Amino acid sequence: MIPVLVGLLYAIVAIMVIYTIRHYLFTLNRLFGRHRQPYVDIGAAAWPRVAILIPCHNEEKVIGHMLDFLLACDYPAEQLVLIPIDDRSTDGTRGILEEYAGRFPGRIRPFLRSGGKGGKAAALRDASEHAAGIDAPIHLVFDADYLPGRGLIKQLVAPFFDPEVGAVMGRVVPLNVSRSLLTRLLDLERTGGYQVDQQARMNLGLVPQYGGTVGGVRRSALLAVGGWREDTLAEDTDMTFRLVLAGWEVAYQNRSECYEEVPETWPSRIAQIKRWAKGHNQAMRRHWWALLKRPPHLRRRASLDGLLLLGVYAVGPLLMLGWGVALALYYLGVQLAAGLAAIFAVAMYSTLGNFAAFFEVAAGARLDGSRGRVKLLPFLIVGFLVSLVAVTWAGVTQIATVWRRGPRTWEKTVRHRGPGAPVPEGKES
Amino acid sequence: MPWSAGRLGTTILLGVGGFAGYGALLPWLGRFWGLLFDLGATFLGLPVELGAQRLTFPAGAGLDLPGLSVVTPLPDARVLGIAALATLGVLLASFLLPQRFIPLRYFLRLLVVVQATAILFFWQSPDPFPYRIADHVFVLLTAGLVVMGLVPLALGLTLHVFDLAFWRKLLLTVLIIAHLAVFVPLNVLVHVWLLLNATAVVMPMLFLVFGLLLNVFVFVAFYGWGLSWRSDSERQELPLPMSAG
Repeated sequence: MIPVLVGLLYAIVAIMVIYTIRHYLFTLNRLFGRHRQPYVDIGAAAWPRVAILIPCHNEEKVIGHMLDFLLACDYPAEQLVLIPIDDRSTDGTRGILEEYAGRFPGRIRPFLRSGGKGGKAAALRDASEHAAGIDAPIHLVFDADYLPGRGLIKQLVAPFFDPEVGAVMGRVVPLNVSRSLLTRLLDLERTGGYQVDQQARMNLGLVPQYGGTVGGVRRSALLAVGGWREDTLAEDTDMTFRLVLAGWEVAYQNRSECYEEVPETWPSRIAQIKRWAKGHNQAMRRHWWALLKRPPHLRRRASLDGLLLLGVYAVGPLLMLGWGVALALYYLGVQLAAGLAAIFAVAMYSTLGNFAAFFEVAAGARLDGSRGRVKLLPFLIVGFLVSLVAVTWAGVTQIATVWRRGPRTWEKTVRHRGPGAPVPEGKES
Repeated sequence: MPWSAGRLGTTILLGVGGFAGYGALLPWLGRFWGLLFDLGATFLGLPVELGAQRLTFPAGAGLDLPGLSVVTPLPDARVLGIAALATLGVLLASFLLPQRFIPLRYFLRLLVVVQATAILFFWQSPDPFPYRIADHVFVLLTAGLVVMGLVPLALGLTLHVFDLAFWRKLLLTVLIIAHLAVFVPLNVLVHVWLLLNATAVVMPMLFLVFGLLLNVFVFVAFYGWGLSWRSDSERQELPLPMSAG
C-alpha cells in the first residue's frame, strides 16, 4: 500500500515539477529573451476584407459599446463588415442590432439565429457559413463585452500577410480592474497569462493559444480544418490545436490590446473557469494522441508544450489527488520514516515549486510598468484556491457524466456594465 | 529587460553569498530559537521541559535546535466528540457565509476535510498515531530552516534579476530571513500550545495547513512588496524637484 502511494505521489510531484520548470522558463524568457513580434510594424498595406463575428446571447448591456468601438476603428470602412450574431436573445439585444444595422447599412449585417444548436461554437459555425457571401478571407471574433481600440483591427489582420499564419490572438486586458479584490486578482492573472505565458510561447516558437476573442482565423485555414466544431465548450482551444496539427501557425500579438469586462463576483468567476476547464479537457481528450504522435511539421518542443497546455486544467484535480495521497501518507507515518531528505525535498518543492506562478505574475506586472499591483501578490492564493476547487469539480463532473451528451447551450459570463454606462476613462473609441 | 555584468555579479553575490552567510549564522540561530522557546514557553505557560534536538547534516556537521519533552495528549471519546461538533459547526458556518466570502468558504471546507480525517483516524484506526509533539516541532523547525536557506537562492533567481538597487535587494533578503527567524519558532510554540490544549487531533491540520505553507506566504508577501519598489533606472530618471525660489 505505502509503496503504491509513494509512487503515485512521486509521479504527481514529477508532473508538477515539469509545470514549475515551464513557468520559470517562460518567465525568464520574457525577462531576458528576444521579444518576437514580427508583425507589429505593419502600418500601411492593401488591407484585405475582414468579417468581424460577434456572438451575442442577451448582451443588451454591452453590445452597443462594442459596435461603437468597432465602427470607430481606423480599418478601411469598405473592407470591414461587422456580423453581430444574435442567438435567441430574450432581452433587447436583437432590437439594438437591428437599430444599428438600419443606421449603418452594409457595414453591420446582423445574423439572427432562432434555431439549431445553442452555444457560441454553433453560432460561430452558422455565422461563418453566412459570412461566406461576404467574401472576406479573414474572420475576426470578439465577445460582446470587449472594447477594441482604434488600431486594433489592423494589428490583428497584419499577421495574416504571412501565409503560414492560420490564427491570430491579441492581448486581453481587464477593464473593470478596480471593482473588487477579485477583479484585481484576475487582472494579475491575465497579466501573467498574456504578458508572460503567451508571449514566451510566441518567442520560443511554441503554441500560442487562440483564445476565442480578440483574435481571428484565416477563412481558408478554417475551411481546411473543417470549420468551427459545434460540440465543444472551448471552440478556441479546439481550433488552436486543429490548426497547429494541420500545419498552420498561431501568432500572438502582445501589443494588440483589447479591454474586457472580467467577472466581478465569485459565482460568475467559478462558472467561467468551470466552462474553460471542461472545454479544455474536451480538447485534451480529442488532441493529445495526435500531439504525442507529432506530425512531421511540428517541432518536438511545440508538441511537448502543446501537451502541457492541453493538460493545464487537469493539473487541478491532480494536485488535489496529490494532497489526498500526502494526507494518507502522513497518517501512515511515512513523513518521519522518510527522514531529513524528505523534509528538505518537501520544503524545497513548497517554496520554489509553489512560487513559480507568483514569479510569473509579478514579472508580467513589472513588464507592464505597473509595479504597484504586485503588492497584491499574496492574495493570489485566494484566487488559486477557488480556481483549484472549481477546476477539480469541473473535471470530476465531466468524468462522471462522460456518456451524457445533452444539447449545448450558452454558458456565458455575467455582464456588469450597463448600456448607458459611461465608457471608462482612457478607453474612449 | 537589459542584463548587465553588474547585476549578474550582485545576483551571484547575494544568492551564493547570502546562502553562505546564512549557513555561517546557523549556530547563532539555533541559540536564538532556544531563547525564544524559553521565553515563549514561559509566556504561554507551557508545561514542557525544554532541551535540544540535534539536526545532523549529510556532511557530518550539525545544529542544535530547541526541543521539548512533553507527553503528547491523545484525544479521548469526549474530545473527539467536541472536535466533531466543532468541525460540523465550521462546515455549517461555511454555508452561511455570503457569496462574496466564497474563498473563505472553500478554505473552511478544506480545514473541515483535513480535520474530519483526523477525527476518523483517532476514532477508528487500529494503529497508534505515529507522531509526538517533539516530532512535530522538530520537523517544522527543520522545514523552516530549509525555507530560510532557500530565501537567498530563490531571490537570486526571481528578484535580484530585476533592476533594483543593491541595498534594496540586500535589505529584502535580510528582512525575509529575519522575519522567518522570529516567525517560525513562535508559530511552532503556538502549535504546541494548541496541541497541549486540543490534543493531537489538531496536529494534522496544524502540520499540513498552518506549518510550512505559512512560511511560503511570508516569503511571497515580502517578495510582492519588494517587486513593487522602483527600479534603479526609474529612480535615476526622476525629475529634479522644482526650485521654491
